[in-house]
Amino acid sequence: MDTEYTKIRVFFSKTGRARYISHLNLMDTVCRAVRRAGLRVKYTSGFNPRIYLTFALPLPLGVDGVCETFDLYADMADVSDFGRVGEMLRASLPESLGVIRVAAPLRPHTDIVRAAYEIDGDTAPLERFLGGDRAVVVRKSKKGDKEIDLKPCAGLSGGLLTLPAGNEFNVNPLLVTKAAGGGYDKITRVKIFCADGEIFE
Amino acid sequence: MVKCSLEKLAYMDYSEKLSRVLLGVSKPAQYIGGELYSVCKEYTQVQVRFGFCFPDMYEIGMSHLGMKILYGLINDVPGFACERVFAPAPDMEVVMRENDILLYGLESLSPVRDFDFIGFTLQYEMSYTGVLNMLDLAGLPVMAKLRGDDCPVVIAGGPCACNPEPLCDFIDLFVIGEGEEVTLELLGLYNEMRVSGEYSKAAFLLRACVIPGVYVPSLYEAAYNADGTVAAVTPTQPGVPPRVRKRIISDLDSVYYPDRFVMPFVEIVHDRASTEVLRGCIRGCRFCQAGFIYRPFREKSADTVKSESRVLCETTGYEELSLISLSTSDHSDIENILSTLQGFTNDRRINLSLPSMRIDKFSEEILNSVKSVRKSGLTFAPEAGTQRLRDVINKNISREEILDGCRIAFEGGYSTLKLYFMLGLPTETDEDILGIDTLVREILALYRAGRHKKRLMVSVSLSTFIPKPFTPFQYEPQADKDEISSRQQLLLSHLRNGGVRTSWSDYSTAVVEAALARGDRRLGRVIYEAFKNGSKLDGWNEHYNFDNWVRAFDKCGLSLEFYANRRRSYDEVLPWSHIDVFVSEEFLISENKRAYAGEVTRDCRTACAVCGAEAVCGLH
Repeated sequence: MDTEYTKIRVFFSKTGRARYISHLNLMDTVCRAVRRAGLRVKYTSGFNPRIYLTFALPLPLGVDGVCETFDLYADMADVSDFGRVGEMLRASLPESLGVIRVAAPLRPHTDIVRAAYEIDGDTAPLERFLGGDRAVVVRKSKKGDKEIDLKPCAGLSGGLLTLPAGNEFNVNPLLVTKAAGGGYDKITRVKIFCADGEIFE
Repeated sequence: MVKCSLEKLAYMDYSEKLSRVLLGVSKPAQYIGGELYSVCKEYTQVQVRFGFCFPDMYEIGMSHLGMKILYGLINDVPGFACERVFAPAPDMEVVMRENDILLYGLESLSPVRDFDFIGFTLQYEMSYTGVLNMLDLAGLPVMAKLRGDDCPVVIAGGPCACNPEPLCDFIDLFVIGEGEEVTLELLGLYNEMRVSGEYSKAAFLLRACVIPGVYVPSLYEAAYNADGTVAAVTPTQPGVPPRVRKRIISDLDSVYYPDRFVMPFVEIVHDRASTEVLRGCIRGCRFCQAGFIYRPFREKSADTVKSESRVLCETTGYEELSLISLSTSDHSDIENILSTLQGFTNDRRINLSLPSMRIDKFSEEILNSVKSVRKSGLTFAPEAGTQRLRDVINKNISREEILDGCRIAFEGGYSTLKLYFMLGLPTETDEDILGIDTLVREILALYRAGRHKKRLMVSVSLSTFIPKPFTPFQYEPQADKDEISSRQQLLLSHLRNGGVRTSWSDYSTAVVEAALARGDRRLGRVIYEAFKNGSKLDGWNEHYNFDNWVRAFDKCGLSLEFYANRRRSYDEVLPWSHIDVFVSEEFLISENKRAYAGEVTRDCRTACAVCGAEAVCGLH
């Protein structure tokens, strides 16, 4: 009989020493944590089976996050509830990757449009940068450099920087703080929003 | 499980400084620690701090099994703490020097200068300048005699410590042989002398030198003959043992083996669970240093291998399990081990791999268990192209066995094959070189005859033979540059045909490795000069600079050729003759003579060759 899998969303934090783990290595780290936890999950079929694992919104290297998520298909037959899944994963992850909670996904990843970043340190240079007529950052890619004016889409209030996020249009906060010329002690992604203004869950 | 948290520690640490600089370097996660299963002990609970230094970068050092063993072993002792230390990549080294960040341990992020011990593992000779550079980055004098009682004791072990002489200027104490017991004895003695107030570096070294397996180079002096060869290496005071015999672990079933590996935050070269299945080797290939210095042959029981493997897979979550040793297929119970492990590994989607497999032991059963989850490429090492030369080096593999092994692999669906050969072996002629070409063609023809669908990928790797201490070839000259390049050319002119990729080692690296491997104490100055010239990651082609070494030899008035390309007579006092790895010099000489006579020596299981280790060998 085929195993029945339940799609689950794991909310986690990536802070402190884990700030320096790249997204690619984070995926390996999570895969192994899932295997260590003894959680039965769905694998891709094919020559090199891998765990079905998707992250809603990759966190740039160097940025902390307290509202991160990944999705898995778990076999819940031997597990009492989502809380138990959370406990299993929590025990098998390093100190700087913390499991916050596990729940059924409410919104698809494609609903994500914005994210809010807490800026730890003096935000005056950022205020000046975003307060001008234009706030241009240069995004480098293989196709060449591209200038983006953040004036219409970035916000800053109370030490909280909001930027476009998601598959369609995503801005790395480090690009903005660098363009503003300020050095900050710490940047933490604190909230991810959907198009209707709701929190991504 | 206690997770690694900086808040519990109270050493001066670099976490602030690092957070300001790490985003400017490549792969920063390798410099910050905090990985799962890293061990941070509260400072009030720690009496002796040990910094395990691997003189290469994180991705190499984190793959090293010896570090995983000693790390777990030391940290299991209350009061002792072991931290990991790796060489920074060049970009990070610049950042560290500019920001006054001294070399630090990854657990506490505090400078290793404040540790009690710094322990280097010497896995390959080309890491020697890396040792000096790490001492320098630590803010310590590289010269042992300039480090006083307030400096950590700098110790070194690993395979290259079997000829410790070139590093005598820099290292306070060498551990010869296997480290599980002697390391704890040294830390225990140190702690005892600290507690009783008797500690001074000199007093500690004098007491340590009588522990079996310990070599304190400052308590010996070397004398030389007029022709530049060594006359003797002798103790400078009574009570210091004239010969140092290596340590071995007699029972592999009861010795410590880690039940978890620190899980790296960046990709490392061997990112997998590995279980050691045996030590030593029954084969006696005459070029192979490991085959002699790790004698006697000892196995872990099948039950131990199985249970250690299961535990490691469970604690790490790795997708690959590797059964490692010098020659895993020589385990007397390998088929039982593989067949029982297979059920477990298949169930958990774990890829089982045997990295060191002899072509003649390559059976269908072994093949089925290694390929059941994922099929990776196969590697065989015939080492030489003709039967004559394979007999000289005592490889004990026939053409038929090679072809048979390949046939089984091809029928099992393998279409990627890597073949290792050496150039510059003793007695080698053009015919032997052309024999490599013939053998490769026969393998290609075999594949074609099998009418397999996929295209066969064969890569041929040609390394330069480097004579090493404690092998029957320790007396041999290394072939010179012209000889090696003419043989490379000869082979390449023949091998140029479809489906074969070739690669070869750089001679300018091999010749320095040959000199360091059989060097004496005078090479300390050369290593120091090469380091001063900027050498530090000599194992990496992109960072290696031969000219630094040429200038270093010139400045010291020493000749590279004297060390690398000179034949030693049987009665010459070799620089490592005061080190005893159980294998006797008489045996090595007789093996050297047999090589020239083209006589093979059978494996230890078939017949004991009385190498000198028979008193401690279970096979005898």
